[in-house]
Amino acid sequence: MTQPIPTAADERAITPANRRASLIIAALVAALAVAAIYVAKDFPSTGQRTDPGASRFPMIYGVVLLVLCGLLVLDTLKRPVVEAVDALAPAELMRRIVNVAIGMGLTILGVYAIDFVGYLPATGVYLAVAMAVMGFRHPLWNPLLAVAMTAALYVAFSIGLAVPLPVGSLFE
Amino acid sequence: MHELQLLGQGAIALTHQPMALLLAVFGVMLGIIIGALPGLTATMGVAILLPFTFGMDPVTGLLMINGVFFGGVYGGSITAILLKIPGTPAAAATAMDGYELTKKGLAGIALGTATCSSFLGGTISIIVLIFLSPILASFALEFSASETFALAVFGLSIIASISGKSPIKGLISGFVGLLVATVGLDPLGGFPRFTGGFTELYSVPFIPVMIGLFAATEAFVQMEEPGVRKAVSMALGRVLPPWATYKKMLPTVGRSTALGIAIGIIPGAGADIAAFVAYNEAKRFSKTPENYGKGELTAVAACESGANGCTGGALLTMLTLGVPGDAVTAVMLGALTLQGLQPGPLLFKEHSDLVFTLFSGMLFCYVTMLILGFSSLHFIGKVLTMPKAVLTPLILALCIVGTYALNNSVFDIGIMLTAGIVGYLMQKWDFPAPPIVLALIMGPMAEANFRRALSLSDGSYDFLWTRPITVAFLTVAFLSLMLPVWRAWKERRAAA
Repeated sequence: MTQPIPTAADERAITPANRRASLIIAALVAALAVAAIYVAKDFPSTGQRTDPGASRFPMIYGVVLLVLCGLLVLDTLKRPVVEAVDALAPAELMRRIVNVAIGMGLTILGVYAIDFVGYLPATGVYLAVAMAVMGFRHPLWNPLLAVAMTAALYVAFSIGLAVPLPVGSLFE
Repeated sequence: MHELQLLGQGAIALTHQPMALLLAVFGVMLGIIIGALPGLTATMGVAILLPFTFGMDPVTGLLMINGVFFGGVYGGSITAILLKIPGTPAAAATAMDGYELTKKGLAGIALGTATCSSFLGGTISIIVLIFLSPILASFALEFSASETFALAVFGLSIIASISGKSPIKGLISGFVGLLVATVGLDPLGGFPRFTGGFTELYSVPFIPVMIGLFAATEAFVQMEEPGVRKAVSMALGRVLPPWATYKKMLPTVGRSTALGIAIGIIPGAGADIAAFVAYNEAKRFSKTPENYGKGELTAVAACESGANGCTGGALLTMLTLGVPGDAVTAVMLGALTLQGLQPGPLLFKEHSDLVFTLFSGMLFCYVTMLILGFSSLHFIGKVLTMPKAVLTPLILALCIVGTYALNNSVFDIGIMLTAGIVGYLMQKWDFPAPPIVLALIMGPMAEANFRRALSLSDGSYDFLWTRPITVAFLTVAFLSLMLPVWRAWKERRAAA
């Protein structure tokens, strides 16, 4: 992961990491486009003489994506490569990546827990842990706020707007 | 001026119905809340309230529903500006510049501008509805599948102007969005495409993707640097935009409102399309288009007046032709029918007293929205003074519950989180997210209407160049795509 291009004299210049990323993304999107075209070619026709069928549009989009990926590769290779002048130190960069990964992982766990134990306990615990991870670790205010926010969301959605929030497969 | 006289009589009749006024205020308030919460749409709000209107008289029931409709369109802008959570699809356009303004400490002015522009856009559209209904209704009848397809293509051409620094990356985002938009049931044959056997994917999961790309992405960015003390931004400060500043935006507001009304009239096109089109046109007319996407106040004004201008347009075809302009008016059409009223030209002749009482009530709803909006902004704005360590998990929890509320589905939450993670990576590598959202709105509309138009013309592509409105839209779309390229070429030549 890298930072946006710094103060390079040439605005078109990119860092080696950005160049690598652009090429990898182009390859991934191209693979997605090829897969889409491959799957779409077997979509059945609607049987109407005038209808191009279910596959036409996905295939057009897939082909255009392939062309655009080619253009991105060409554009990336044509750009001059410069070292980033204000890039983050590797340790700082790693710290940020770890922080986001923890946040994402925690959120995925929270969603899984909602499905399993229901909205109220899962959201309460998720909020308390996420706030603690983000640095808010007051022994009284952290759990109190977590409960208050969980209750506020419950009142707004479940009671106010009649949305049946999940009770969890454990209690169903 | 016969309409003015009828409107006056309607207003007097309305003053004798305090319950109708009270429920209109309640409707607007509920609409603002529903609009501000992610996942809950004005359509859902109107559908929830519909059973309660059965026992009410037509004016009371319809005004409450209209209040939810108007408040819902406006409410989406509040969380879009403050937290980059577009409460409604239309607010996704507002979020692009609105949240940038919040990051600059201008959240108050941005919210105030959104409130004023929503009020002006909505009020003007109702006035147009009152005085020009018969003329504009005939315009709606000119729209068939080919014109709607051309409108969708015009909408898609906006991708060029919201692509940020790299048009190629913007176009890749847009076409990935178009490909994602084909997931679900084929619009004509009903064949499931790219669903992998999941019935949850039978309709394009548009709102979860939008919430993920905007709100969850921003929350993940905030998680990079945890900290207790740091609030997301400063307190709101001034909310009323200075007159000198707002005066300069009035032409944009007027133009965006007109666009909103025109788009609202077209069946199938709603406030989301109007907001994006208004954004694009405001940028095209601007002397400083480079500021768009970086926190341009005029962009907020354009999106909000465009989206709210749509309300009058959508109501116009619903009342005069019985053709709903969007999902909300489709539900409202049901409400009208349940009240024993048949929408169409005869409604204006046989029930003119009721119709004009309703019109004056709609104007009352917009005034209420303005008052409620401004009086609650400082209270709502306190959210910005919350520590980041509290606000970020709260945003994610709101995204999760809001997404779940859409279809009562945990699967949708998974889609939202996936979109959030993809959006985070896209932001890191300078791939813009708005083109994906735009493509998800316009893609299904373009495909379905192109295929319908082809069927209607017996397989001939003639409709692309023989129908004037279609040709006009396609030409403007072509120019919209080419203008940035031409500008870039000119700049490069000047630099050389």
